[in-house]
Amino acid sequence: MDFISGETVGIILFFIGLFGLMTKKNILKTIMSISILQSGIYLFFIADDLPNNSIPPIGETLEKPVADPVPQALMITAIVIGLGITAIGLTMFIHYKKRYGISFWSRNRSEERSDQ
Amino acid sequence: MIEAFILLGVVLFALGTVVSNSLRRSIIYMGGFSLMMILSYLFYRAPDVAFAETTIGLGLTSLLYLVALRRVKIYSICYVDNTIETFSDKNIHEISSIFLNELELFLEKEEEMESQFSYSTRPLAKLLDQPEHDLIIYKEKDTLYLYGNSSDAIFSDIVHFANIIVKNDYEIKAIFKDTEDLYEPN
Amino acid sequence: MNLTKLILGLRFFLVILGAFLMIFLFIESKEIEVTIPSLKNYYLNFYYEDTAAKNSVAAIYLNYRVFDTLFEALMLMVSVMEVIHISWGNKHLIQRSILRKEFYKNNQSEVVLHFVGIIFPFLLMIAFYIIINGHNSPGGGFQGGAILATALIARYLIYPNEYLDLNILEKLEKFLFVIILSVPIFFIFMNDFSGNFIFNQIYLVTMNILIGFKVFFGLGVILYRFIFFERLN
Repeated sequence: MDFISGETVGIILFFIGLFGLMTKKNILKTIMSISILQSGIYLFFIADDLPNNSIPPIGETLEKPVADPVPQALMITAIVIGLGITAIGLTMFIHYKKRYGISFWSRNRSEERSDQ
Repeated sequence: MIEAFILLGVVLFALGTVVSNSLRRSIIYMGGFSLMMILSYLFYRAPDVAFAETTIGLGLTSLLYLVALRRVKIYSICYVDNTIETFSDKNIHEISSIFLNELELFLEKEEEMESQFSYSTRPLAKLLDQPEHDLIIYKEKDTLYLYGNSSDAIFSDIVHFANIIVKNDYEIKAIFKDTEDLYEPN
Repeated sequence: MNLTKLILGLRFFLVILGAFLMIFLFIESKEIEVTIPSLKNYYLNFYYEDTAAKNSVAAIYLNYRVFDTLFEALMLMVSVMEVIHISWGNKHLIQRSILRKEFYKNNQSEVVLHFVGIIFPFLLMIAFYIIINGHNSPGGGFQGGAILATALIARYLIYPNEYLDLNILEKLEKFLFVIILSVPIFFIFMNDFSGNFIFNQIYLVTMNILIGFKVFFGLGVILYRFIFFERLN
């Protein structure tokens, strides 16, 4: 099964998050979709270009092959920044909810109900 | 083999988070999604990233979401039955399969509202005095009585669509608490 | 009704199309041979002699690519300022302290109290172990700081009424950020200590501790602000 690998699943996760961003009207759902989209990118970077039967890049003397440490170091910083994005989004949501009573981008009322 | 299982779990939990209609279920699926992501990081030989995801993604982010969920308005529904001593799991399952599941689905899909159920054996008159429940359902033989406020738009929607929600042959009577009017659909 | 279903179907179709296109392009591009000498080989061959860290990931984010860490710390600080500013935006600075009379007495469960009391010292121990030993084993400043922030939540569970001054935490975070900026400037950018074992180890441990405390203060401000959001406004 060459087709099921971390990179393809990362791409699929990215598009699942994009689908949530396009279709869901709840603001909390939108923030969750952004988290999933970011996770897809992390998985893509970490699983990319991994040698077979490799070991983690930790230790004094390393026998080859070893996993690539550069994207791992980048992704640790990206995860912490992701928490910052989530926190800012949730703060904005709570603030606007308190001030204007909004928790949806727009109401999904069907036509027959708006008649009555 | 184990890689395929972990990646399948990741995709399933992500789909559950996005597609699910209930916000609480979404948050729980989100926790499961983070757990599967940790397993996949460990599988791809990145223990540092797995550590960061454990503490930040699984621990702190779930807490922030749970705090934010308390701001979302919840529609509170109380079911009253005076004929039994205490509610058992069997009673609740029986009631749910008749109409409460349909009501929950209606509230989530059409009204985009989280619902919360409570079950009570206290006398009806006492519960009607308290304003904390938005909708009170009381069953007497083959008749369902719905109690709510006339200014509540969601309650009037529920009354209007009550015959679609309740599939069995129940007679439905809606009573407005503030004006004490009686309304019978059909 | 029909139109909304059509638009939903169109969005679904676009997502499926995009995913297939990306996967197709990715699989096609894997066949192309790229012969650039990779950065990975340089880092993996020399990291222990250069930086004295056994964990090559820590060697990269504390020594080779320390700019990443500096800007990441800046991003976290900006997000903390944003959270504080949005939630307390229309209040004067004097009104921003948590008033004692606004607390109410929680009815805490006995089980939670006892077990959090038992867990708390172990939580602190594992957090400091992860911070101090971060250059030799998996872990480091970010992860240990996040565990310390979790310990702050445990403190909230035990003493929900206890006073905590968020202004001091915010100022300490900004002060630590200046120190984090200055340590690599004086150590890495102005001198060349590569190969000096003792100095490098002192630098790594110092940076991990500073980053750990900075992340702890930042996340602590965010968490406490979220927990008390409802009571204060």
